[in-house]
Amino acid sequence: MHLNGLPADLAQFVDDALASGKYQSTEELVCDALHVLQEHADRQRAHRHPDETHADTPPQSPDDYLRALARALRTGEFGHARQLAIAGAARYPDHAELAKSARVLAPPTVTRASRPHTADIQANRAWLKAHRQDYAGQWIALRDGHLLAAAPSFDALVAHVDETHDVLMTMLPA
Amino acid sequence: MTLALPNGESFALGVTGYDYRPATSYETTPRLVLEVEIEGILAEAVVDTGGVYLFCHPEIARRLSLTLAEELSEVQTILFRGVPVHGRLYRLTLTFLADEGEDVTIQTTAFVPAPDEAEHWGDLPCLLGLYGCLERVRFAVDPRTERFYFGPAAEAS
Repeated sequence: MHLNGLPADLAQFVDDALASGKYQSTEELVCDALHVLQEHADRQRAHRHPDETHADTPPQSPDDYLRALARALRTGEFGHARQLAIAGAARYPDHAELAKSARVLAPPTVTRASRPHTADIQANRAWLKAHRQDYAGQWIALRDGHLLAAAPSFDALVAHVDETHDVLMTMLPA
Repeated sequence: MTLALPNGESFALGVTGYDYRPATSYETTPRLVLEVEIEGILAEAVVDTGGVYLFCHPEIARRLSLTLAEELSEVQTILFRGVPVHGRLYRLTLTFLADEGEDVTIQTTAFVPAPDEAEHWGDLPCLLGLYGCLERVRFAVDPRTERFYFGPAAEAS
């Protein structure tokens, strides 16, 4: 077997490998190299999720878009997820789930609040600064800087608070 | 109260104090912790500019009226801090509450972990990520006074 037209560095590698005596022939060296390639491909296939076998193919249906969207979220490609949702909704405007995906993943909108809040958040902050350590590891309920209840679990806390309007419920780190 | 841009325009609409402390019992690095409203419910939230979306504490999510919120039908698995977490994606209303100035409302992408994730969630508060949540908010921090300034990057029409 003659390997013609190899890049200089690979040709040099083949020459060196044959000169070292590790391989008896060019055929043996090529077989070994192909084994390495095959193992690499097998490893990639084994680690790939079933949904990802057509990852490089552009979505061809609404379901394709939804599958690609789920995959993007699963792999942390959040920008791609938004692009897929918007592109899918534009291509299939009558598809309810794609339209919803585009709305849910759209860039945020920021506006003045329609009415001011009523809770005294400064008083809550002052209470937390003063007493955080006293209730470390517990859930607490605060209204306007007054402690309503403290409990080891969220469920136990809720059981002690009747009216939750303007009530801050939070877990204090231990 | 609010900062001003060179053209005289206000940088922010509102300002609030924050707590500068580790967010959880297993962290030692301080973070910016704010009191916010999520769908009208008061909650503590950490500013997490390295994160995405509004991540809602699973227990806090139980107080929200999520049946009225827009959601994706399928349970999704999201990569959160390198760990896959199951839950649902919603469009929720987050409000920054001003000590001075005006409150600001954000329609944000929000991830609500499945109820069975609660036991793994621990004492991590809600998280305000940059992408999908804070990306259209103009904000600034004054570490000397521990105040957080906020406003829309552009007024929505």
